[in-house]
Amino acid sequence: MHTPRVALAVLGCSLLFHAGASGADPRFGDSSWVAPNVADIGDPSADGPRVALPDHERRWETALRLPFRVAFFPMRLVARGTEVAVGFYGDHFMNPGPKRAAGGLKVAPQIEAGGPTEIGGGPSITWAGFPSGDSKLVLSGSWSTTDRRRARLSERIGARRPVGFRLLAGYDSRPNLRFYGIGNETSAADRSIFLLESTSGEASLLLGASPLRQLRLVGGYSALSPRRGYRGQPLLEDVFPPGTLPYDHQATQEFLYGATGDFASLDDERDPSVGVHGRGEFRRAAGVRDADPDFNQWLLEGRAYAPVFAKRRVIALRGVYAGVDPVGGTTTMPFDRLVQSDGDLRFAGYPSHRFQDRQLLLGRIEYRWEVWGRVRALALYELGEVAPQASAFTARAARWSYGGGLRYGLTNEAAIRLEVAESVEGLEGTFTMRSSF
Amino acid sequence: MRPWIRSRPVLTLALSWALLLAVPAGVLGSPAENPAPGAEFSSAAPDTSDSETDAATWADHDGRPIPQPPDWDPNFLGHQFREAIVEPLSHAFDIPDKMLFVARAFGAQTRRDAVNVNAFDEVPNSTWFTNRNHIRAVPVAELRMGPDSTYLPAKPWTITHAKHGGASVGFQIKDAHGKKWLVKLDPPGHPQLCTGADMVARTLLHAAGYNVPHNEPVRFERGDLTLNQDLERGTKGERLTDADLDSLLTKGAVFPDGSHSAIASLFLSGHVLGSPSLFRLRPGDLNDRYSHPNRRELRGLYVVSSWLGFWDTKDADFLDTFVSTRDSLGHVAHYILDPGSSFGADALGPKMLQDGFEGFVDFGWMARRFITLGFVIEPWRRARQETGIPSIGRFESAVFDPGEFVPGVPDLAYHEMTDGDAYWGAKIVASFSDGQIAAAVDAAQYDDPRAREFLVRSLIERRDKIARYWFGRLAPLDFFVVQDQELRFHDLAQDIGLTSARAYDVEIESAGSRAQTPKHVHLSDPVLPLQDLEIGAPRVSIQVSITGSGAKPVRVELTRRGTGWLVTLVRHG
Repeated sequence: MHTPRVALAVLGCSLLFHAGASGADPRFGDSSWVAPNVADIGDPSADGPRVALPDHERRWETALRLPFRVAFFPMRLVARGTEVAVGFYGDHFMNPGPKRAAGGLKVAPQIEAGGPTEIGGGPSITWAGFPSGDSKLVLSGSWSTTDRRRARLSERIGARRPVGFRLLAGYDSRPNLRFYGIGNETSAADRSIFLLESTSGEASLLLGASPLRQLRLVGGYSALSPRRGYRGQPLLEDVFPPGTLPYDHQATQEFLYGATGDFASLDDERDPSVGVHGRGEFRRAAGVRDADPDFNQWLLEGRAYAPVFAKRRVIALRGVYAGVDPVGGTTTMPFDRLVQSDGDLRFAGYPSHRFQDRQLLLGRIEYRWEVWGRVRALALYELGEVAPQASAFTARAARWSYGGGLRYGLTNEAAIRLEVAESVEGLEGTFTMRSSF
Repeated sequence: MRPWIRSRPVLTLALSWALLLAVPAGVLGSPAENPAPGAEFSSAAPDTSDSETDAATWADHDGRPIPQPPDWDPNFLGHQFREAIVEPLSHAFDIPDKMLFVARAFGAQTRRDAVNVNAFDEVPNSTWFTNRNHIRAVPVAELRMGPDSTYLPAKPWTITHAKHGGASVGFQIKDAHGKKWLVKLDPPGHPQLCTGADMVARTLLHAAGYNVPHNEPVRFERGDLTLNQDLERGTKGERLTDADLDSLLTKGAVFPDGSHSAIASLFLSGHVLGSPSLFRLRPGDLNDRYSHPNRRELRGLYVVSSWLGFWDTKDADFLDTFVSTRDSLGHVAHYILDPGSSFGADALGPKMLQDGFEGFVDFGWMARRFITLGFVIEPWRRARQETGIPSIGRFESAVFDPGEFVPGVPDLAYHEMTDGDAYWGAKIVASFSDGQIAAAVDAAQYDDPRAREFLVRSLIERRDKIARYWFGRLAPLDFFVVQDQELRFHDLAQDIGLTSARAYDVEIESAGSRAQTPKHVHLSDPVLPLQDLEIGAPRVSIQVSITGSGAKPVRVELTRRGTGWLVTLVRHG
């Protein structure tokens, strides 16, 4: 069946060539070009043969791939599920339907992860436009698998205006907060847990439209109540006998007032490559009751960025000096109001809350380089130390660590960081979404 | 050892097969595992599954009447996620693929040839592709027209819907003659950027052989637009007010005279079925029987795209329609829908510097940057792409490397491309003359004379680079015919002026009962006299290479017909 068809087609080609060969031989690419071996092509929608049989994967290739297909099948299913989810939710996100007014009340679920074993969830209520057009009220609450209970309120008015207002309030009851003792030489083996219940509120008058060039006048209230912990072992009382820690199991309440500010001059606020950024915080804490301590709480931070022959390669430096100083008649600071290596002050390569004392020094150098879009890889070296006073800091006692990770500049106030750092106490990995450094 | 332990590999294999058969074939992700297209429709459908094939045909009859397939359109974002994230990751961990890669390094032929290739190493006409410029030069005037004669959407326009999906801003209109168009605005500050890119790219793609919609660059004023009453009132669930329209128009480019710059795309005839997918055949399309990544026109599109800088070739930029012919039967037609992200353009403005040089999620470049601590210098950083011409954006030809062009999302067909497929694509690109390129650029009607001059020059330079690159890998010897007992062929590189006259080495091997020892002939012209060779065999295999060139030779098969010879097979690579 095939042979005559081939013969006919080829014969057609040959005849066509003969017909067209009488003139000058056209050259490929010329305006008069007609391929010499092509017969009348015909219409694909007419009846006629196909050029090939349906194709199938080669058998040997199927045999080769089969075990891998089976092995990776669960991952394929996950990928397909994710694809469907992206399609469904992505559509809702990208094409939200008729545009609604900017204001309005929105309730949504929120999930919080405090670690591999601590996942919390709860509602989040956002009311854009409350009480006025450019303001936003956010209320949220969560309850975690470790029985941590949190509630937060934030209200911003005129956040991007030269003069604005911000109110923050929060409640946090954490039954397994870590404590290792006070000082720079505490042992990791002394890890213990206690419950800390904190209630706070702070109002700020914002002077300056940009959070990176802004002075904030603040006033607020803070209550801390350390108690017997649960959801972990050993308890603080088992490691540090009663009476050995200042203000153990004793709640304190403070009124706070002061000023905080940021001044930055950066080429790119999300991913700076040239510039400096200075931060300062000062709060005076006055005890609500006679038994509550009076103290000053302060923080100085400097950041500097310099490109390495190109903006995509950056040396970033960060230095922080923070502390609390008792004032008035107060001589002893509550253990839970000392400066701690946690949050933005956490020492890389060490667990959170690993060190605490009246003063803290932290220095870090990073080399960052562009990997993909705004995702930067980074290599870091860090020195951190806590001490009871400035004269007690020594280079030899500093806690060092080195490591690497990834950074994604989310906004000019926050960055997502995935870090792994090595210290004398081992390897620690962290995933954070906080400071913009 | 217990017997069941000894037989574990057999059990594993059996279990593998059982699982394979138990799950839906498409789920496993291999294009070749698609079920026979339209198997579920076979009882009602005309017989299009005949095994009649003709390797020498110039028309692959895939437009035969079938019932209308069900609409099926991959979810845009889900599919983007799959193309940009899942498939690259999947490919990174594709162990058999790595094994085949290693085997290839030792000379094994593991790549699969394209399926829809005829005996002359060409793609027959089909509902996907029509042989045009490289077979018969398209006259300049005809080329500029594109798929249809030039006609514009008549004003005034009535806006019937807002544009949904995609990055560009626009709306659907009904023109004064009742024709439906999609109007897409150029990005602010860049009149004619996407419009120009779309017009030039679609004109060249059409002349190359692909199906494209009828697009026209348009300028309009606010007064030319009226809102459909249903749309304005929102009675059908969708609402667009005058204020919304005013706001929408501010997101588009305007000319110095205040008119708006946009491209109008006439709605395709027939029923829109949705985008095709490279991962599967279209369900219900009885004519669709070659895995899409194994279609040569989709593989070779890589080379054409590299020429045009058409980096956004995701599935969503293609569209299938069902064209009815008779008795509710018809066939599926396949279009390249949106080539606007070509040259220096993107829907949101000038393209990003890395577009065309690295993928959206490019693990290879990520790894290179990571390992070198960011000191690697990517080609797109070396390229001077800032043209300073608002209607061109970022484009260049100096650093352009035809073998290193990278689409935004990985393309399965490009991944499967062989040298033969690339040669075919390069042949199409090389077939365009300087005059044809200039005519295609004129279709954009650029206001800025610098834009025309720059684009014509860049396209000529890129065309020549493509021809040199791919014609250097495979001998560009083509269009073999037997005339007067001579085998004649064209040296395409010589024809288009890339090289001067050169010599060829021919190795002739006869087949059949009267086979003789191979003969070697040296030619100074692309003409091989067959009479002098005294071939007694009914069939001969001829290998033609360029003297002193490292390019792979061309294989030609001649079959005796009566007293003469006929070319029965040509293969490049």
